[in-house]
Amino acid sequence: MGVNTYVEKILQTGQFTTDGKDVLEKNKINLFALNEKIIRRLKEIGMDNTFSSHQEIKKFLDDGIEQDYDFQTPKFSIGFIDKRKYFSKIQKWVGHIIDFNDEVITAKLNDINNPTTYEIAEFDVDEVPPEDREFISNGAGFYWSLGQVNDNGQIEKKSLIRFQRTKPWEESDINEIIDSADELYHKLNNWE
Amino acid sequence: MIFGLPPQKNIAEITLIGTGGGYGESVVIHLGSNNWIVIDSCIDPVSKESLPLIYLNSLGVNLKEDVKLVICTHWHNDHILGLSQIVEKCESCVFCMARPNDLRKFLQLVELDYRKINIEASNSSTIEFKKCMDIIKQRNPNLRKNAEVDKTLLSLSYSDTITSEVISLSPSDFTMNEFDMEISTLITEYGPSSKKIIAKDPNSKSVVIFLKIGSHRAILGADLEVKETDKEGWIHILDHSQLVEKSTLFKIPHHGSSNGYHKRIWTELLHANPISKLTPWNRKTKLPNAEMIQKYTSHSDSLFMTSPHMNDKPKNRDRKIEKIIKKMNLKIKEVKYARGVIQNRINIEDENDNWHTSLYENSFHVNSQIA
Amino acid sequence: MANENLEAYTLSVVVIGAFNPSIVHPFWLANKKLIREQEAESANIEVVHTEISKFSIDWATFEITRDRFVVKTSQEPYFEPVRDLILEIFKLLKETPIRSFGTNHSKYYDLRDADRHYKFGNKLAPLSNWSDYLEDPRLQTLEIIETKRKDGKKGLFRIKIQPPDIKLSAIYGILINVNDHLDINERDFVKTFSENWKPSFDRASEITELIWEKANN
Repeated sequence: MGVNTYVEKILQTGQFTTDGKDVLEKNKINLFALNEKIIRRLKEIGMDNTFSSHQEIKKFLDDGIEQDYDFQTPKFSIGFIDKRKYFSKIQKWVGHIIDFNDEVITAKLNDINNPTTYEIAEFDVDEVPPEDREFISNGAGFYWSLGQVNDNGQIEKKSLIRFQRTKPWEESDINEIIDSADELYHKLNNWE
Repeated sequence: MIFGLPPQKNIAEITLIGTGGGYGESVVIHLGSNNWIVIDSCIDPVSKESLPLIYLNSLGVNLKEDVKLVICTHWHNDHILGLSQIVEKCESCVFCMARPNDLRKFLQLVELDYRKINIEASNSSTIEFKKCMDIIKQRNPNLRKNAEVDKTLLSLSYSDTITSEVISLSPSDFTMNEFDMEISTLITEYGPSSKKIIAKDPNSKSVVIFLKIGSHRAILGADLEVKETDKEGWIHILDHSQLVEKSTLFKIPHHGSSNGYHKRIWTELLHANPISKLTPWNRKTKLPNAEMIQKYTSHSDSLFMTSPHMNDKPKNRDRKIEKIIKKMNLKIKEVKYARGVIQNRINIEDENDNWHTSLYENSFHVNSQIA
Repeated sequence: MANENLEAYTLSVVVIGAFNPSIVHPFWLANKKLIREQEAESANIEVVHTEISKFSIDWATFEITRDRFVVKTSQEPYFEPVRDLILEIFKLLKETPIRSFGTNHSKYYDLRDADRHYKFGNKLAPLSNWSDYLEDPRLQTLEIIETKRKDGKKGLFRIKIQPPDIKLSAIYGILINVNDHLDINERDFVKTFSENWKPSFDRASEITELIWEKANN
């Protein structure tokens, strides 16, 4: 069994329990023996971004998971999986639908990086990814970016539309809002 | 001085400030003796500064003491942007709007929409309105007034014989009852927090202002429309207002749209050939259209607009991005900003005086352009 | 203008607190409608465990341990979706105690030629200080901390200038990293994070513009 598979197996086993300690107990893993291998694996999967040195990883694993690990300020952690995909020229808007029918959407666009005058855009419903079409309604918010993407050295022009995905208010949110509105109401109700 | 010298104590002023369409309109009024009023607000989209404040500052007005009344004609983006800056600076002003009957529910709606601010879904008008509320809640309750049919909002004596009055002519009770129902619906349909709350018909709640300045009269039409019924809109004013009198100056409602026009307004509420002025609307629909311009110029030799209509063009931006927009054949048009100021002044003490017009920046005399 | 020479802009958000890594899973995100189902299905899951959860979707990488919650994206169009996603996750996991968070802006610039590349470093850390005892010294990395935040909030700004850590098409590239770190009260994360979003971008832009001006003039 290669190191990777071995460590992966341990990590996978962990999915079925709620407490990391139990897994380690159950599998009777000798932490000290494994350290170097785990460290290597963790480094492979990118954990070196999270910890600044071997010593820190060791301390973390040796001292057990219950320990309140004292993190300093966040480390710089670059090291993307999609390392070579980035936008070199970009125009970003936040938009809101002001009108739509089965084919065309009209929206008001505000430039995210340079919010001055706004713009009005018309685009086909087809431009919206199928999974986002359920969000099309008056007032719905979306992000729209146009740009030049550098994907592994390959330059492509791209237009990306993504609807805002936010969860509906919960009862506790609503209650908080009502409380706050009522406070305002009590201060303003003598308005003749 | 970009907007001329400040008016003398005996000179009244009604100044319309426009932005070209998308960024609002506002009216600034001098009732004489350094008593100022601001109706609505609009902004410079780049600096986000309130234009009526820029205007008042340029005339050296003491904002803290001399602005007596700030009126919010209706809860709509193109009339409210920057209003909180005005309310904040004008510490002794009375804040006036058409108070919804169910103020509690209305404030809940405001609060609900305001919470969307963080994800940019919130209506800017809500943000402005909420800011205004947060300021005035700290102030003396006497500093708020409810605008309704035939209500005197402010009354000042210029001398023993000359007085000025600011009177609201709308919205009607019917409109405000309808609004209560709309608020209830909006509240139940608030939806996810990324969705803007869109009011159905904010214009119908507009506060129309009738001004009596000495013997001079003016009507400022906000965005009020003509409805089929006499229960609301202009017909309600025409049929039921006890206080309105024929005027010599008119701020044409709703960017000169046909839905704000009725011949009776021009015959029953205005003297022949009044001074008339408006701000344009510059989106897909351009207001006023040619037909309406013809109508207005047939009623008035002195029709002024704060800026001409502008061609729809995409914004200037990085050339590579421009290329992409072109190549993808995207229909994106900038809503241009064009500031224009139409200043009308008149001698309060002289009942025979006529309105004197000064035009600044993009504003122009429409009749001479089409002649 | 730094912006004209900006080659790439990447972002990572690091949240420090106490997390349960195994909860955050692509299917959980899709189930809560925070990402598209398709995105969850094609997610690259490296590990989901009580100690560490690490996976990536097309536009973001997630790395969650018991005390760090990190989301990164190299694609600028997704900065706002990343913000929304983080906010929504912590609205759902509202009991999560959070002590601090960092918004890390990585801006990659193209200096276009060797001369400007050399001058950039020489201007920020004059190499004459070293030339007496080093042969042809060069600046590799420079790290400066603002110990007292300008906005008066608890935390710090950390600026790091270094060679790019991603492959750029620019040969003479540099990376300016602006780390905006804020310490917060445990229950204030959602509010503070959303309120700090725009100021953080404004400050990062202001800082990089000033560095650019100083180093190039």
